[in-house]
Amino acid sequence: MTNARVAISGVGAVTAIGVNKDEYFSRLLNGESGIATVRYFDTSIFSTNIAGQIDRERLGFYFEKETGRPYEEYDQSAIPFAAVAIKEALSDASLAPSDFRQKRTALVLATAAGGINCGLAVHELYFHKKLAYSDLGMAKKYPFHSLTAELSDLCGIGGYSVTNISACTSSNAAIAYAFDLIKSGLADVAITGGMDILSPFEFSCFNAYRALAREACRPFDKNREGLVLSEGAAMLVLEPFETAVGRKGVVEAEIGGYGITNDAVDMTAPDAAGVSAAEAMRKALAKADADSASIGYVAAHGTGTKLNDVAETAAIKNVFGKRAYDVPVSSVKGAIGHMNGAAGAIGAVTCVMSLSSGFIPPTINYQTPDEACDLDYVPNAARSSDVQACLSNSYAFGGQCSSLLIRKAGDRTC
Amino acid sequence: MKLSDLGDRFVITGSGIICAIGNNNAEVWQNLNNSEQLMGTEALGENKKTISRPLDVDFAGHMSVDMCRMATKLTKMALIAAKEAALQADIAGLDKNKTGAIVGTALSGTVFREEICNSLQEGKKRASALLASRCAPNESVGALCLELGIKGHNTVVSSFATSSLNALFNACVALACDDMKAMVAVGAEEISGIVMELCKTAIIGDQSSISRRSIILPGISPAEGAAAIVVEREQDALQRGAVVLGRIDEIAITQSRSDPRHIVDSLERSMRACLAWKPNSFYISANANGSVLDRLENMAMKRVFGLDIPRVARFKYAAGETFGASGMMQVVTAVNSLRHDSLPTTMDSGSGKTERVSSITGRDGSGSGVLINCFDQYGTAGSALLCMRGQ
Repeated sequence: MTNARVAISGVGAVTAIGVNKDEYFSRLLNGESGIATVRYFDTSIFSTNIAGQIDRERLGFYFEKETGRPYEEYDQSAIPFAAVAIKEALSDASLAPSDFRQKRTALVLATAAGGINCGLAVHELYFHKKLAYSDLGMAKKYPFHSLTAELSDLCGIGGYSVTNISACTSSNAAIAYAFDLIKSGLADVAITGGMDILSPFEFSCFNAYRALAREACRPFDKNREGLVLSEGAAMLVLEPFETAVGRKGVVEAEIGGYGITNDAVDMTAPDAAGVSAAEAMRKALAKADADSASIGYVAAHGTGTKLNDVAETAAIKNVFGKRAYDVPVSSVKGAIGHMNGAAGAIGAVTCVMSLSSGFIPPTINYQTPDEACDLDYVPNAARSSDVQACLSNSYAFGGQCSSLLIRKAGDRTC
Repeated sequence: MKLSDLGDRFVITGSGIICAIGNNNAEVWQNLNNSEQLMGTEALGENKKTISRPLDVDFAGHMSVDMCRMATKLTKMALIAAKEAALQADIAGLDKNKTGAIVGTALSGTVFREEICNSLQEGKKRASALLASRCAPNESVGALCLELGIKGHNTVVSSFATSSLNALFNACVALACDDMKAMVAVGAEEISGIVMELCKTAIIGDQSSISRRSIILPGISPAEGAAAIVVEREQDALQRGAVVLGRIDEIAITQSRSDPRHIVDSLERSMRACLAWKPNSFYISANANGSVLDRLENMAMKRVFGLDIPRVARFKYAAGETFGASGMMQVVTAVNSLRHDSLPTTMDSGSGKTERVSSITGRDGSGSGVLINCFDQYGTAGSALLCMRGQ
């Protein structure tokens, strides 16, 4: 065990409001929304027709430029989103694949259903009894880990890989695991994050849960009616602090710690009191040897569902006490939707960008305060703030709770 | 990536299993020794391919009524294996906030995804909420936490054939880095009709030289099941007086390109990392799933051992290929063979004969070990070295 500090030396993002991190964050601060009518499949049988979608034409151009492979070969999976985000994160970290040859490299990714459209295509052929050998290329992209294995090939990242598949907490869990690999000295560099793609399958599932909003995602608003699904990817490069500083000169952010807990109360609904969600935040603080007073921003899970937003608000009050009312809390899901397996990773990238820019993104579509959700949700307009440390939360079906603590790297002693 | 770089020592204090040849450790061990093969074989899918799965399972006797009614078979099998392991390890009295669970699976949820996909094909408006929830892989770990009262580190990981070895690796990392006292590591798999079809058509790959062959005959026998162990840091286990069933000396997992040459390289690296521990007596629990991958495993073993390949045991002739659960199946079988100091009836890789070995203890009596191999066509390869020493 080396117990190294864990630097975030690079980040990349592909979202419904931008196919790179700067475009994403600047449009996020402007309060723009990437939610629109679904273009890529028929939604007429579902209760809603809106989602956050990537500009796939532009994304395809970047994907082919970065990988030299035809976009059409991969366009049914989240692989192109992730490949572009990984390349951006590596570039941001001033790392090239050739730098990995002498390093113990880990590729720790997350997805909820990144290959599901390939699965749907295979299922359709199977359903009509037309599945043939020539369809194997598509079938290979269906299993969860096939995306990570393919990205390992595409991005030239060998070494070790694993895919976290814990639904909405999966990318927070992946980042936490990558943090442990670096901190403990098991890996020299870790590329971590999440990816997901919109599909009729996901629409069908969330439609069944009656969790989809018809007009807009309104996190923490009294009239919130649910979440809006979206797609994209967000990636981070993690390294030992000394290594990253030695190569880049400056590192702006580090992961201080994380907490992963389980409600163990109900299989589907979150614990309304948010006890385990609070425990996850406390664990992240303790691991980072930090006090809740040091937290200047909470990147909320904030899905815009009735139960989640109340439970998360209760958890934040549980951790921060009276100070909870003074801590800015915002959710990006009104702007970009719920990226599922990439939700935690985009939360982490948002924290990194907030720390480096000095701006906290707003919760858009917030109109009517809710007495059960009475914190400072940074409504509708970004805010300037000298944030030193953030918490980023993700929760999932099955009682899973997770929090990351991300802070300015500064000159804290190692 | 090597587990030993953590500098901690990890031990197994409980194990559980449910598969085509038995619904618990005792049954599986007995049936292995009786040379039973694929007892729970049934036809599945339109092409009536055979699948091996646990039979006559008393699900209701192992979990709450609601769980039995709502959960997927994968989750129920994971629960049965995990409860057997937890009972044996006697972890009920441990701090629930410092006890965690990690599930490894490759294909979780495909059965129910298939149902939803079929309903979409038929133009149905939506799936039921229950069906939708059954598609989420994290249902299994949520159920483990709920039924065992676990509140600590919990997650679900996938890396195809090495999924459950990766779950074990993740569990050890959580013990060392997330202040957990005990982790339940589980491998579980449930097979759908489309998986059977893909196996028939060969998910082995479409570009490589090994691709244009069916792997179903004389290849793999897809199977369902779950296996679980409780893993602890050695010092914690000894401090609380737990019975140590085996020690994990090493787990090495690598990702390579998905062509045969790189897969062999990758498996060779994993085995060599484990053998750096210089076990003085061991057998190899081979991946050996009956597919063309066996040739690659033989090549890797020859590279590592030359002509002097240790005794090779294979388990899948009896319980089938459980994909994401296979690594943990091998771990649990290895734990049982270490406990009984006996290798079950197996196939010698050289002669192809069935044989029974009564003792696997080293000639000098200093201990014994098992080198476990897991790898797949996606380029993920893993090896683990379990040893008896440490008791």
